Amino acid sequence: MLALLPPAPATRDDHPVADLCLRPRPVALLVATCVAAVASAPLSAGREPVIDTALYPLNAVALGGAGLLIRLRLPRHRVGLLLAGLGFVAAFVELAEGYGYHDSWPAALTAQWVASWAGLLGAATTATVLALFPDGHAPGRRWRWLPPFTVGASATVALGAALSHANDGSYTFTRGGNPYAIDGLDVLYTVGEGAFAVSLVLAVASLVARFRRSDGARRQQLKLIFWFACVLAVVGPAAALGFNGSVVVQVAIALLVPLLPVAICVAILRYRLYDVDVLIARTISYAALTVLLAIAWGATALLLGGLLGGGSAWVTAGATIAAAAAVLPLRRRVQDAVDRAFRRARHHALAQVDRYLEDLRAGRAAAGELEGLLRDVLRDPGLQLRLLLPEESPPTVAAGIAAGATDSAGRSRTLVERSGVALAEVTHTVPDGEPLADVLSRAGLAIEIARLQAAVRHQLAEVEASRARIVAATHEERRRLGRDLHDGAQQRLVSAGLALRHVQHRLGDQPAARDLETVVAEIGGAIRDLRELANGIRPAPLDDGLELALRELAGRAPLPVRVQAACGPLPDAVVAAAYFVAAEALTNVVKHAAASAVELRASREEGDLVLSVRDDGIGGARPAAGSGLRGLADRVGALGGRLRLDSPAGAGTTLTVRLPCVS
Amino acid sequence: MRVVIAEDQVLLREGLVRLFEDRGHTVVAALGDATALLAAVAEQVPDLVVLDIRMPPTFTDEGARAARAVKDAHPGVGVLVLSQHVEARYAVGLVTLGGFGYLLKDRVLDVGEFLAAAGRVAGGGSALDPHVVGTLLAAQGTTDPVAALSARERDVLALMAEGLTNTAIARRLVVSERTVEGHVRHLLIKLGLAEVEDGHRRVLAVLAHLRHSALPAPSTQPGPSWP
Repeated sequence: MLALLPPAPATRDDHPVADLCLRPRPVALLVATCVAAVASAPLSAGREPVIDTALYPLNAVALGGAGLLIRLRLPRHRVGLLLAGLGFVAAFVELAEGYGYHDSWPAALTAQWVASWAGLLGAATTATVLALFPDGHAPGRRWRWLPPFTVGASATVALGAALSHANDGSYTFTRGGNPYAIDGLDVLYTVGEGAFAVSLVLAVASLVARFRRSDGARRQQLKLIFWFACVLAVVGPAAALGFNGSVVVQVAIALLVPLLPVAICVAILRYRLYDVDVLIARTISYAALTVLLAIAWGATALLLGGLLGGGSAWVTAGATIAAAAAVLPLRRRVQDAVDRAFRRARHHALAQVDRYLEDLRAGRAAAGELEGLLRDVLRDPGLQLRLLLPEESPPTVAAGIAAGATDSAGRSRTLVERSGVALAEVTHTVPDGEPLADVLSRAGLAIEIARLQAAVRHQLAEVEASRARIVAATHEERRRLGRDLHDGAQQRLVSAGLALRHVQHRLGDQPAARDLETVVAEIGGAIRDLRELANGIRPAPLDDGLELALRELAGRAPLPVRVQAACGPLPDAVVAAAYFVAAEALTNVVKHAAASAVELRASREEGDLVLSVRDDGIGGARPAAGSGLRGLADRVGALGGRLRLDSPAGAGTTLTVRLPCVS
Repeated sequence: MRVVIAEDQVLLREGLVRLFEDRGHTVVAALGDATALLAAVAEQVPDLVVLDIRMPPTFTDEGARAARAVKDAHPGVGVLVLSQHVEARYAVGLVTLGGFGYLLKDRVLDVGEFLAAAGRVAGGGSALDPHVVGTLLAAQGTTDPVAALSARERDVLALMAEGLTNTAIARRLVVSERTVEGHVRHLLIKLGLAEVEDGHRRVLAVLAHLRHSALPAPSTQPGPSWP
């Protein structure tokens, strides 16, 4: 079944001309149909109502044209074959009928006879077309007998007409009767008629059954036929209400009759029928509008007629003005009501999107909820919204909201664009068209906001990651430098000093020995300097863990520092950051706070390390005041942590740092 | 003194050997790593083992583990650990032992004091670097022990650090000797050193004071610079 669907959308742009030379037979059939249809007109002219002379050939050409178009795209599609055949039969019937009008021509009676049953054969085959629509097969195993049954019914009714007196009175037989009738076969015609009526009802029922089971593109195809049924339901009763003589109604019917083959053709060939729902809803609203306006016109005319005493031109004018005044407001209301009734899903979905946008503007909703909203609104729990960040190139290039291919799981992709920029790609199982396209276009602003947020988040994450990498690299570099100073330069200086001591020892009491004393002292000073330097680069206590390092730090402070630390093993970078924060904070306390005591706390809270340094000094510290604090904030921020300074004037200062410990 | 030396850097090892030998001590073994140390100690039974805390193969705690092993196997042998900087986590379990020393490497340049410290350790006493003591006190959870002392107790502690006896301290402060004894007892308790053997705790107390009074001016303290 799937194979019969055209490989859209690429084929949409194929030029039919290219196919003409490859498919001569279908084209020849249409040419024959056209020739017969055109030829029938002069033969019939003046011998039947003008509308018949125009309408039936037109119908034949429409059928044949629709059949050809389908056959060019889908050569084996049975509906295409049937329509092309029907078109030819209809044109041939017209030709035979027209010939038959000329009694004096040879074999005119036989032409009348052929026209009488071949026309019925064509009409009855409509049931077969409906049974096979849209894919050329029966709707399922349970219906597989239906197409043969409709064919049988058509054949029976045609055979009955050909061999019985059932149509003897019709205008086809200008001399009164069927020349080839066999007495007693009227019953065959009656059975055929009954079978045809049944097959028509069953064909419609099969369409309904198909519709209930269908989804996606198939459902849209079927909807188009139902749209035709809607049109028929509006125009049919109007025609039946006795306006048959009216030229307007006749023209309407003339335009309507070719509509079925056109609708079938469009439904089969257009892969995705975006606007069928709109078409149906609009048809219904305009029909309802027409009826309401007619009622308004009639009521006004009656009322004015009663008041003014009937029949005047004023009555007609007044009623027309009243009806015209009602058009616009009425149209909006009718359309709204129809939308609510027949496009409820769309109406509801758009209302939800609007509410969400309002919430988004008011800050009550987050752009991140967008995917959930779309799933909800479109009733597609598998829907995925992939925001396309600026640096990503769009997966497909298309204009507006373009449709991509459908994968084996029935999912298709839709690209959402705004002002030529691809914003997002939506993967969905709901069909393209309504309400998807409307919802996505209505949600465009939210998608753009979500995309911008995602882009900012993405960039921020990259910056944060690179900052963390830089800090980690610095950290590692400091450790390496410290190690090099300890194990390299310091060791060598100690060795050199020892060597000098040995020389000094061998020199004994010579004056040079006393000179060496100064040199060795100098070397000792250099070693201490190096140790301080190494300690500044990478404080040695850090190797002993944060708790010890903090206690060591507190022990070196020139004022009482109470340490409460219980934090367990921590990532190296966190230990270093916490240590430096504590050191800087203590330095600030000593320099500025005029404090008498400090409390240093370190603990784990929800996996984070929380470090606080609290003094009882004068407070009033400002974060911007010291570049040291700025540097601390940077270091803490690089690890994804937060730094808070709480320093009310006269009430001490508390510096709190929270560092996440994911290594 | 009969000395065993374990130090991976050749020049430094040679220097240490000559240091001891120049002053008439005997270096019975000089090793490049800790693997053969225990065997050498068992064979030679020296008075003192001098060893680097970082040695091959991993340069982390080989020296500390070797020191612990020597003390476990030969409690009478003094062990003097040398380190480039204080690594408290390796020293915590060792310092309360008698006959143990932990000095920064550059102390060896002050030959007289270094050999005196080595002699104390060989004789079952202590030789702890002020930095080591500070870190160790902190590690025991005692924060800023000296800050908890009264002004008079701090005076007594400073004089103890200068090497004065209780009698000399009493004379200097113009108080009775019993008063000084009371101050010494109180300050030792406050420093959390009361349970330690007498001579050793006095050393710790004095070193704690040294650490405290050696602090530079507040403007450069505490903590390292951070660009």
